[in-house]
Amino acid sequence: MRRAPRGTKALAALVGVSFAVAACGSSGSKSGSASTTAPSGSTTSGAPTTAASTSTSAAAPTGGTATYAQEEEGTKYNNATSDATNFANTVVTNLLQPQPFIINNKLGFDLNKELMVSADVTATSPNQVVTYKINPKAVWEDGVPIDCKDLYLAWGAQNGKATKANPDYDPKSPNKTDATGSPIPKTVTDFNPASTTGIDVISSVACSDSNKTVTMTFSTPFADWKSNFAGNTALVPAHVLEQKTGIADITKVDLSTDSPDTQKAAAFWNTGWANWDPTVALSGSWYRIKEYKKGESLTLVRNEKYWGTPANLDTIVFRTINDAKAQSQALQNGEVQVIYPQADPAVADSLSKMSGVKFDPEAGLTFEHLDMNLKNPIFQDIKVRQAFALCMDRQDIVDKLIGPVDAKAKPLNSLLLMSNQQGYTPHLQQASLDKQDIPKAKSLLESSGWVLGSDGVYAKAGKKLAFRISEKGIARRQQTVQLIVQSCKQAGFAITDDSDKTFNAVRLPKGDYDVALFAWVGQPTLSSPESIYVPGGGQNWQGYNSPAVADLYKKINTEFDDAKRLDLVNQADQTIINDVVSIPLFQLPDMLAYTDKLQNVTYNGPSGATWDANLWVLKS
Amino acid sequence: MRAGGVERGWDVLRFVIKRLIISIPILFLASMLVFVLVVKAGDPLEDLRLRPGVTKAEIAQRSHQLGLDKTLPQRYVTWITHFVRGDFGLSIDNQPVRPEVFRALSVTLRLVLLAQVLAVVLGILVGIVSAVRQYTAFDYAATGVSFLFYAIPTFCVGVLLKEYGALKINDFLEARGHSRIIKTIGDSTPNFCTPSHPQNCTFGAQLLDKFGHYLLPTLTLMLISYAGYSRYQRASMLETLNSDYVRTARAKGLRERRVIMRHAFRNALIPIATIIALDFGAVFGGAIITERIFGWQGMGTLFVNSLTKIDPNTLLAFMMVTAMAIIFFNLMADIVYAYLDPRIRLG
Repeated sequence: MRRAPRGTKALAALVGVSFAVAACGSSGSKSGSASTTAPSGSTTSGAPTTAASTSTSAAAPTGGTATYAQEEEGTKYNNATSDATNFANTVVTNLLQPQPFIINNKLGFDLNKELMVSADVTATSPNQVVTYKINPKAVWEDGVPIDCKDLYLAWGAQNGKATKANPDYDPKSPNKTDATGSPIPKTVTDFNPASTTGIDVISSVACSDSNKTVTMTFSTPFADWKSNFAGNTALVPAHVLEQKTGIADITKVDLSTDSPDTQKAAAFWNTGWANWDPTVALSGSWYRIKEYKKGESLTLVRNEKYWGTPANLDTIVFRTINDAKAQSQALQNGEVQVIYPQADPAVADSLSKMSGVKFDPEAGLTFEHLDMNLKNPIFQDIKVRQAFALCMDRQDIVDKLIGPVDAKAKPLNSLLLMSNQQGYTPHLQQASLDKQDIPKAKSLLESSGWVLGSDGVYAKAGKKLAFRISEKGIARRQQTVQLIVQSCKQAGFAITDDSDKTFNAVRLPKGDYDVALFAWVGQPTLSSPESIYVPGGGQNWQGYNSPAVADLYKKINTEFDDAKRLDLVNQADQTIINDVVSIPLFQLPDMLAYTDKLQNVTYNGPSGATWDANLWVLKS
Repeated sequence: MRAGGVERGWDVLRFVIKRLIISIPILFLASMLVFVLVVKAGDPLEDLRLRPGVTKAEIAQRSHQLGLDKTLPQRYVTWITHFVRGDFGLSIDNQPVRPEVFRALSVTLRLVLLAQVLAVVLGILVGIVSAVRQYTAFDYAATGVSFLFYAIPTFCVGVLLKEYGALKINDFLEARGHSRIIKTIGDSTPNFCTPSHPQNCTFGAQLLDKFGHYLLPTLTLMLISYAGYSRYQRASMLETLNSDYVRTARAKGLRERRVIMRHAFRNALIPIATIIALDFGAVFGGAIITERIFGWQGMGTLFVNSLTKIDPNTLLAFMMVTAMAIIFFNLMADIVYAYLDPRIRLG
């Protein structure tokens, strides 16, 4: 009888001491900066202000804090390097880095009118010239102007021109390949950009007008010029790089040529903006970094030096919650206000039933599709390709695989434009290839000389209508193939599932497949799919060769009128769809959910929900 | 006695040194095996390859930066020569791996150690009482509870605790004008103590915040571990209570408390001490499910994330730290075992 109380006391003491130690262990703020923020979850009411893309009028901010749950922690302020380019970074840099154009939720580019006075193509002949006029009031959070230096650095770091000798290259064995079978390059670049597309064709950058006017001259036309320095490639503060490297004026360094100064600049640009160190990761936008606790949270507060319409909320906190269910429970418990979890039917179901929560799944940018390998004799016959498109029931696939998350999901009917993208036209529907039609599929095959065998499979010249659909072996793709196998069996196809974990990494780039099932990511840059559908393109693995499409892409890449350009893209899409070389299936759903106390939250595929978080308002 | 003690001390030292020497080739072989498994787990450049517009030169450049253009033995030698000097390399997103692993380890230890200690204390206590009071109402109740938590998967316990231990209780508290005390993610509320909220900076307020965050994950881990420990301890205690030497002790007229604590309890600790020591080694690998459910960025989360991203250096560092911890605690288990049972000769 006497032992139990003593044990209880000991246990209570142990628990008490443990919590006391834990409480003492993290009471201090790592940044030590003064704080004016409210704890997570506090709310203040108010009206929305206006977006940077539409106005520069000032309005009183409304205050409050919102916490955004990320599935993965952002790791790098400079999101333009090849080791970054991460969505988890983008949702943060949206609020920190200035960008001349903002990618909107229709995958278009809006001029950032608070940063830019103007940004236009000022000449097209003999060379394309783009002139940026930066708002004279635009400054980084330390008061240093946002100016030509920042654009010069962005260009120099991402043009891929400064190269140095590759120590692994052996001039005595120039044809030697590396362990992956690729030739060893003679040189490697000083800077480490994720992509040089569109910036590599800028031949010169000139600064004028007290560095507030920037003139970029292109060696070859690049109609997607608005994508330069937007999204992942938004501007980083060049003066911080100057301070850290000792370079007096970055615009005096030829960043297209390897030199000691270029190497110093590259070393800092590649690695100096890792993490979210508030002393170097400066803001030139609505919010600035107040505090970063790795693995715990990143806190942004309103940037007092922002010259345009101030953001409404005082504070936006990013927290990492990997699990979708945990995100939804944290939202329900009021610990976070916005979540963007991986699509999950059970979580979607619980979110749709949650009171006080707004949940509306959207079609995301990642879309599944089937590519037919045109080197395979079977698929050189367009009637076979058409019959294949007609034998599958895409709506059934969508209902079974996407419906549990997004009941309003529909099959995708375009390859070049997403259903929520400006200019989307359902070309597969227009070609009458969007719905299952078994009799028509059989009729097409028979008109091409295929004869139905006693085993229920068509054959021609002794060769059966049999092929594999190759995929990476994830459950959704295996289910997709099973549904296609079953439905196409009715039309005399003998299809097998070629599930291979290494398919995407090894076989797909070699074109080692009959039909490939994988995903592309829809892009706001309309020229991007050229590499997929034009001969010689880096990702044209199926061997598609259409002079009409190649010609259209030449025009797409030189047309600066947005409306005409969209029309050309639709012509290319229609041509590819009519050639039936690829069949779009569906866009994977994205799940954005937020407390109904938060207003003005909108979905944006490429940039995430924080793209206009300056407009978020918390009502009490 | 003194000479015997010194001799025994040397025995222990010799045993430890011998075991440590044996563990070096084990670790070396484990590192090779782990390296091959990690490298073959997938292609870190898969996402890059499937990004429209990316050129072959850009892929080659990235491959070169990550050292993927080297042969497997070259990559292993580069990694192991750096690792033994304390350089764990860079992650796939170019972050130094060592600080990240130690940060994750500190998170895991904060989460798991408290739960583990509570589970051990509670498990042993309940196990002893159950054995001493075999077939009483307490024994039946303790057995039922243990089997219940033994049978429920960790994720069920966690999710149920959040649903009913956090959301419902918080709703109840909120309806009565109190704040939502019980938290479902992380180990603290960001920006809890700020100059504009000085009331949150008191020791009591911060203690309460910590309590709200630690309660559910600690309970989840504790209940699962407790279930096992109490069953092992009960079985072990019953075996010793029915042994001849305990019967002899009772026959000699020793008081029941002395019989239980001096004769039965110490010997009944031998099997569970081994299990506990091995479990502590496993702790370093993180509580993958619990960390994920409660949003703690510890070793378990680090492992899952690096596996998802096919991040070889981080995965290797995780594996090596975990392997070293398990080897170390195996050694501890042997030493404790020998300490508790003098009949066991070291070496």
